[in-house]
Amino acid sequence: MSHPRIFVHIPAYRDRECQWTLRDMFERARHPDRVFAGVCWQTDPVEDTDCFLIRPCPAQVRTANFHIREARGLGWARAKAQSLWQGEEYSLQIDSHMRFADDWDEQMIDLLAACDSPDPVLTLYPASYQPPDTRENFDRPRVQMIRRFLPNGLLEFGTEPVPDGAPADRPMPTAAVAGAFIVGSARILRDAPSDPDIYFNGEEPNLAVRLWTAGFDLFSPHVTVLYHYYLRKDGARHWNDAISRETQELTARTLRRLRLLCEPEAFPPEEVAELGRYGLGTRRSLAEYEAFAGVSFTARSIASQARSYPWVRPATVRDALALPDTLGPAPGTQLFVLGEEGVLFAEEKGTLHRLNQAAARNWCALEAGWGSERIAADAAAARGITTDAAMAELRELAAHWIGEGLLRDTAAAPATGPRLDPARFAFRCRDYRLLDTVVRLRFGDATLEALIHPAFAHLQVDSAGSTPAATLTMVRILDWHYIFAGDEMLLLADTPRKLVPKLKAEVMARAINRHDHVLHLHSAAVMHAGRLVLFPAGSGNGKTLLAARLLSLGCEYFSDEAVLLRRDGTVRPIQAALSVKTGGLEALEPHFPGLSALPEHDREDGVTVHYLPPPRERLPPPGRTARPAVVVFPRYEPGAAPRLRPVPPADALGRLLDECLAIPRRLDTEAVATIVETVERASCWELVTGELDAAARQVMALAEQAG
Amino acid sequence: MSAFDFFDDIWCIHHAAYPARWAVMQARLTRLGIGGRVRRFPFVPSPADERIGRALSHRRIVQDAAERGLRSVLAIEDETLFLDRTEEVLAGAAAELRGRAWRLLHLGTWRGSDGLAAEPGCAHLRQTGGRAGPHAVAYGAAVFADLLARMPMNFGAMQEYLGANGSIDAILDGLGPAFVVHPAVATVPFSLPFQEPADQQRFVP
Repeated sequence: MSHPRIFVHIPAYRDRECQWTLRDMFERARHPDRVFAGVCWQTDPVEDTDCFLIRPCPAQVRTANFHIREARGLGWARAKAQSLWQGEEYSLQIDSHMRFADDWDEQMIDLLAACDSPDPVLTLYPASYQPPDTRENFDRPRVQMIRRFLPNGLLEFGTEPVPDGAPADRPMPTAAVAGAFIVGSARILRDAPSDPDIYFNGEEPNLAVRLWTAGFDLFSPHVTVLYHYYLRKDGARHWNDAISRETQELTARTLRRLRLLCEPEAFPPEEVAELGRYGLGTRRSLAEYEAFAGVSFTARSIASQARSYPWVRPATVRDALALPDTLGPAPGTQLFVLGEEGVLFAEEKGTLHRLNQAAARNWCALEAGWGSERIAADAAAARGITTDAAMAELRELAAHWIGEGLLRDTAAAPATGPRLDPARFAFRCRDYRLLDTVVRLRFGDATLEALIHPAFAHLQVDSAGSTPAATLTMVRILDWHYIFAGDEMLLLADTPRKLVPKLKAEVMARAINRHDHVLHLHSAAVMHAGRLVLFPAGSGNGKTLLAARLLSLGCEYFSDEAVLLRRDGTVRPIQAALSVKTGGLEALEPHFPGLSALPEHDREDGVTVHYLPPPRERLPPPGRTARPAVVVFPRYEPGAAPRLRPVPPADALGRLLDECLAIPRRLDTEAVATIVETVERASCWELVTGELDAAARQVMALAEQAG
Repeated sequence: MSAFDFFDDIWCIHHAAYPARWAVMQARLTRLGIGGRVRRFPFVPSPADERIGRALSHRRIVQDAAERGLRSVLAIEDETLFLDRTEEVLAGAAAELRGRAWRLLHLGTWRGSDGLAAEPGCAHLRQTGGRAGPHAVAYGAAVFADLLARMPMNFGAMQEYLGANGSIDAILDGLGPAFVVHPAVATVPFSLPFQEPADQQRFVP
């Protein structure tokens, strides 16, 4: 291709920056004559005249013009802009507020050529600029990566720098997409065009899945070619101009289309077919994308591989995965059949994994001892796909299950645990109950028991004869301390100070995983005057201090750091010891004499804490549950006089979800109604704390006044 | 005269991210009588995946040995603990190795050496049977060329190679017959609880 041309498609919603974007685009191009733009303008002809102060290279800029009342969101606008393509070889998708590196056109084509792929696409959240043209380059090359599942089920992307020492001399593979920068061959416009029914959020996971299954390989460039204006606080947005009901409908439609795309097995085929040309690509399967990216859309889980560089699984690993005929369920993994679908329960971890119909069928076949070829042939016949495609799906599925510890090779050497000679270790066991879960701690010597037991003593139960949900074993060998769960080493530490924090986290995780709830909040909770008060807040905002002081003033203890909202809107106490940081000792010592003398422990985040067992007289009676009556968002400011301000319910809901650590399963209408009702019923406040006593008394007054 | 004289060269692979380990390791090596002989080999940085740095470090040590025409080289990682009777056991193993075209000699494994098949006629050599450990391993000249041909020399290629072949343990297992000293004389804190129960307290911190 001697003179490749680039088609740049841009949706512009009342954006004055767009004209400067176009000017910079042409000025910085090495071959401006080979650059063509398609802009979908959405403006108010009366109010937005300043969007058209200049008209750079008008012969090379095609436009589709709409009144803002006609606008239907981002996907619609991108589709309109894409419709202005006239056969250029390359497609570049950007936003309307961008700046360009010198020779960006030539650089992008060179970068695409440097990708190890026949069908590469470059994508990355660009570096930042501020108008008119202040640019900030990245310190290190960055890669687009998968960050998390949002509560509404959308996959959120971000960028991370390439670690020091890792090579960054060529574009790097990624499974994630940045809507503000996607460049590749113009085949994109044919095989993965923008879906006009995607309103705004959701565009990126939609395109990631569709581009990848259409056979494109995604890469993040290692050099900066584009800049984006991220701080557009004054910029116009469609959702500010449109009526709220309309944007809600558009958002709901987006979420439904994402589910049709990413969870097709959950819908009848005729509904999936509604996606039409905006559905999955035909060159790779969704299961292949999930394996490459390390995500499971049905389970809403993200595998550990996606958490560390290079964030995707190399093709060599995927292709090399052998499927011996001796694969079988790992011990403690149980399938529960639900109609034609199923749920896998991993007993040791207490986790649930939903299986769609095809996955459940594969699992049953593996359980029955069928070899991989027979399973693939059976799946191919049942679903009308090729045996190769069925085998590829099975391979990816098996890789996911092996990675999650659900499946293992039964012929492989049996997993062998630590060799802890009972003759050397004077093991003593104690059982502790948190929520409904009993965990047995097995101490290798009396010193360990003396160190660990006090932090759990108030939870101890006599469960002789019953089987605990888990047994955790602690031993010291030479200078090292270990925690094991069965054969699995949970901790290796060179100091005993790390044992209790890890044990507390493990015990809590097991209890929480076994407890039915709709929302897991990072929050403390106490009860006063018969009313439950929550303190949702991140670390360092004084929630433990406040909770501890309230206990000393007679409140009942519900929790130090975790609140589980149940489907019926109630909360149960989780009475693990309070983690008091060193900085809080002085304030609490007068109320808990001896606190400073308790052993110091080192948390994984490097913070030193003392574990304060809640006074027995402050523990609620067994079976106590309560609905939150007051929600206080504490914010710690040293020395500040307490300031209290009401938080409107909508804000409170948002802030509550900000402190949400996990939603254990897909939210349904009933669960969302529970969360909304909880916020509506409670009185919600922000409390700036600095004077502990005054803050505590204000909280008590709030509880007393709550209806 | 030390049993470690059996090896032409000895490197200790030290990870710069853990500076304190080097002084501790020097003390251990001094106790073994080889403090002055062992040289520090800087762990090849690979912060996102230590498997890559570990494999590249071992490869570069072998490459150096091959280029210098050595008969053997011992690579020790910087967390290695040694059994209190290492000298005696290793001397016995070295005597049994003489005259054999050995390729790999592990001074320890992830799970000790009990239960492994004894090399015929040997009291201190067992066949690894896929139970190797890279924390203290000697490479004989017979394996140099094979190892260098198999293991890539640069970061990206090694990343791909490990993606397909697993960890360095699997790579070493794939290099053919290997011996492990019996009883195992080297371990690391991570695998200490998996060693023979009778020996766990006999490693010197």
